[in-house]
Amino acid sequence: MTDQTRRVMLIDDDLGDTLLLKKLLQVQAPNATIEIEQDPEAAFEKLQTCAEQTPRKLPDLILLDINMPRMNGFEFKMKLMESPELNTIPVIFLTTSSAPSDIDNAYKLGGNAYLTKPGDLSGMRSVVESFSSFWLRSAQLPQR
Amino acid sequence: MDPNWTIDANMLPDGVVWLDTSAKILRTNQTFCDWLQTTPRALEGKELFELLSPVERQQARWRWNHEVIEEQRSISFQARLHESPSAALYEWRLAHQGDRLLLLIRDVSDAFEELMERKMALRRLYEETPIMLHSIDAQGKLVSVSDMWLEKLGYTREEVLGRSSTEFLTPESRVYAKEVGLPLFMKHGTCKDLPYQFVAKDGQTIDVLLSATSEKDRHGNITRSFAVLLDITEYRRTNKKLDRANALMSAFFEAVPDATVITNTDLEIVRTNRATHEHFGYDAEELTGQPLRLLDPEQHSLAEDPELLREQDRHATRLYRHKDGREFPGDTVIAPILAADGEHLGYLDIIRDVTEHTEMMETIEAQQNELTEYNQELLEKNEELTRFAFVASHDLQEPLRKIRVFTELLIDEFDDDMSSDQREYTNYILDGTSRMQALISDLLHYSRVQDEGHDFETFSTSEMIAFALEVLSQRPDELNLPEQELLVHGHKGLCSQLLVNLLQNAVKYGPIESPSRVDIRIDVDDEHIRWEISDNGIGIDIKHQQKIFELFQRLHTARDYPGTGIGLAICKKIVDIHDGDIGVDSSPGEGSTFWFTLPQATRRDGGGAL
Repeated sequence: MTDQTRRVMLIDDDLGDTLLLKKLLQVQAPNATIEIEQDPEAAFEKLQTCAEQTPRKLPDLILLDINMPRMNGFEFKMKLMESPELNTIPVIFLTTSSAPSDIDNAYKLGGNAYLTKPGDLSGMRSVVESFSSFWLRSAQLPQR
Repeated sequence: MDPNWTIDANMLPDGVVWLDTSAKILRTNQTFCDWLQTTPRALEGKELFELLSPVERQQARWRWNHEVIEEQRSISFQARLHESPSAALYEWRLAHQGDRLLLLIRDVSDAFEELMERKMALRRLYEETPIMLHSIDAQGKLVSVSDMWLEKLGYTREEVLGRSSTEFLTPESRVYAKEVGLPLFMKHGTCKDLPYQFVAKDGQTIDVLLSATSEKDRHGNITRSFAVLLDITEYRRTNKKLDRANALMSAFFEAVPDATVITNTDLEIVRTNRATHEHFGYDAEELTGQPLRLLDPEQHSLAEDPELLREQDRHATRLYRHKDGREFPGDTVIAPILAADGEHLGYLDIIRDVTEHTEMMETIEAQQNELTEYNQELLEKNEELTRFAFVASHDLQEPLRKIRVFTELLIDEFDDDMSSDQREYTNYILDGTSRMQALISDLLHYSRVQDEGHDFETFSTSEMIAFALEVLSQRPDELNLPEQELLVHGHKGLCSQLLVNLLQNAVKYGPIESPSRVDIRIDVDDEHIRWEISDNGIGIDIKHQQKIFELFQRLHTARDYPGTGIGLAICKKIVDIHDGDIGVDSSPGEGSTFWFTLPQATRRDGGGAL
């Protein structure tokens, strides 16, 4: 499996960030499918529907923000854990928070990585580079 | 006469002499002759009185004439023989025998001797008995005094015998003796415990109690008195002292502001002080003799088991009852009163009316609760503030990040199409945002210090230095570390951060042209470790030295020395968390010595070796 076939779902209410991430990700993995979701509730429904109807189209990796309206990243991750169809999808928390409690929580809930959004472009670039090279190229992921 | 009943006078151990009425010797027996070492014939015709010693002769002649011849009575007397070689004493018994007189003479020397000895013993007893004794004759003259009498009054026997006893009294006592003492004595023949004051030879007065008995003649006239004087001077003195002590105790007892009650062993009230009357509404008369339970209705256990109380003092807080029936809280200390010999005399009960105290305590408690609440509120506010600082700085960072990232993206993607002005302006945006980011990051750091600084551990100064050097981005050209190693008790991360900040400053504000040098020294300062970070840098004017530890205080422009003015404030906060001190000694151009103190650990927790 190569990056051409990898699907990434980006769940973040910040439009700027999602656009930037998508842009940077496309540079690193030009053939990956990148789906942007700004509303976590809608995203979850979408995933559920997908699991029922077209499980092959489920994302291979979820990039998840924490501070979002109505449902935060942790609640979202918890719901994923409760679903047998969705609990195998790796989740990378990508957030502005560097609070120790948030980091602890993320891993407690089975997060696969916790990354802080860097304050400058080059930082962002290297973060995207590092996780995409690992998760989209090196890591073995569940077969759909 | 039956010849068997006659006796030979010569066989008698007594002397026998027959006399005529003119006291001439008619005949004597052999015994009498033996005493005088003469013959009966030599004595015949001699007058009896010539045989007596001259001392007794006159008295005997007088009695012969009056009692024997005139009154025809038998007499007896004691006398010595004038011509006897021995000094023996004889008893003479003279009786009429028809027209003659029969004189029986017995040697009573031994009996007399014995009598004399007894008399002497009696005298010795009288004189040596350790008590003041004196005897006076009918004229009131002293005839004998005891040694103690002399000792107390300081006279010799010769100085006082024959003098009137009243001479030794004070004028007041003399009047008393004349008006009260003597008439009483004359009337009854005895007197008991009459108070007199004697004056000793040295002028000191001696208080005595005088008791006396009398000797009377056959007509009932007092011939002699015998007095015992009890010296009560010391007793009086002790009494006076006791009186004073009593007055003192009384004053004290009355002045005690707490109700103080003395009871007997049956817990009946014996004495109460003024405070008792004020607190309970009774007066002293109403309380005396009453059971303590009148004031202290809960006193049952005590009354039933006073023995228990004898063992130890009792403290308690109970409800007491006022005369008007109202009950009030009182703190009591009840203790047995024991005499020096251990005799249980009763109880001392001190009762403190704690009504006001209780009310005050309630007020204090209320105030304390208020304070605790206020304190809690403050703590919450403080926490809220810290949280606010954290959240605010965090949320401020977010849009900044966006500005920066997209500005960079702008430059990245459109650099070739930009004019030089556009490029310059976007660079200003970038410069501003990165400074703002540094400021917020430091603020965030500052706000976290308080949150993080709780988990103290023990670590060595070397560990702390190594940890700091690892993080330090730029080392000074020359760095001198302390040789000594001590143990710090604190937050390892924060302490290292503190050192990093100071080392960074030392490098940052290092000498402009020469190589930078930093010396780290440590030393024990009481229970703390004093650190000194000395540099050879630009130094700080004394007027700024206090200010630099405050938040956002900067001494230089961003162009000369970029910075946020938070680094030293963080240092101060870290030191504060460790109850330490921080300061700087510096003068411009001569380098700075930043010093701070951290708690010293006595030993490493968990027993790890250094």
